[in-house]
Amino acid sequence: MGRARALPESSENFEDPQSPDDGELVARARRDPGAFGALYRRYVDRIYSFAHRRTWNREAAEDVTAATFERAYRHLDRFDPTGAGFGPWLFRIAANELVDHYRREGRSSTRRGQRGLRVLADEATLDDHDHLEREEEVGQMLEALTTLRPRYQQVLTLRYLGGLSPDDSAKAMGCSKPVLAVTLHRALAALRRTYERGGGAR
Amino acid sequence: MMAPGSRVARGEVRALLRAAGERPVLEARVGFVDRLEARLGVQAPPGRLVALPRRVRRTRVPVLVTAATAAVAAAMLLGALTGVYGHGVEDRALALAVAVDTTVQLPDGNLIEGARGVSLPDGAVVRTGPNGHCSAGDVDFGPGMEALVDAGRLRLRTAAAGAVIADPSTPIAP
Repeated sequence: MGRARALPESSENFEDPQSPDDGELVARARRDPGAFGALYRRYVDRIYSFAHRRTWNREAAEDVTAATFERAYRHLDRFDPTGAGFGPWLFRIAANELVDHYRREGRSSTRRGQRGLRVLADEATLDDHDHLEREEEVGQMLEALTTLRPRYQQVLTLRYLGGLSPDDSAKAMGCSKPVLAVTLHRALAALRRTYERGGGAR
Repeated sequence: MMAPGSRVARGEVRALLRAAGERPVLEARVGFVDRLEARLGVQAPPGRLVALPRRVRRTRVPVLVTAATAAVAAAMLLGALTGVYGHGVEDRALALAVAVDTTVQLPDGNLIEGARGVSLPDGAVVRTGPNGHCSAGDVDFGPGMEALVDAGRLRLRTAAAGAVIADPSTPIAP
């Protein structure tokens, strides 16, 4: 039996220390598609989960995931290994794709997703009344999120739905941590105002 | 209940966003993951870089074999429904499909590192660390969650405040 320990909250776990690191794989992927396949397998579940948490719609999450990896593969030469890591870079692409998705689709996907969420909540036996009420609030907040300017959507999505650390969120947003903090503060304020105006209720 | 259109505390907005980030999500469909990989034209090299297990590929089978298999399956289903096979729930084997930064506490109290394929007997408790996530059956769990295996299903108990995870540097017997 192993020893157990608490991880520091801010620790990020983008890479398995025993595998080739992302930078190495990206360098190889520029010559060898198989190396990108390894990156794909490493991140596909996380990107899909990220997209699914945002859309609550399986088809939409798949569309966003596919678009994210297609764009990443097509523009791999633009990835700067000395800048943000591959993980934050990929999450940024996914966050952009989510913004584009809502721009194209409007909010109907979220509403469809909320119905799916009900089903999921039932299946996961998270069916007590308080929990469902809370889920409804979460859904309304996510709908309000779609009305914010893209940068605000991105920062809130990356930080809270992607679960990125402040450091990785800043890298993904291409800004410093202080700028991230200010952006996050403004985004939260904008989201609160939108929600208070009933922007999430449909 | 906090209603849209009413005043909301900033902390509540954050709490709702955090809750959104911690909700369990459905696992990506295997067919989707494989199809996208094929569409990208990339194929991961074998070895530990490929985190997912080998997937069963569809192969052409003779019609007779298909029909026989269907007949056997129907018979087994009928048997299960009529109780021939006893306790259906107990026979269900739940296992982790995805496990990152995840521990499993077995009913006997042993703590093991969560990994793909680890069986989850009833009474086991699955915990994800601050950066962890796991999937079993049709349920995904995000970071800092705790679930009890009950009747072959993962049931969310509570967010595991101060969740502990196994030290990855320490070998842990599966």
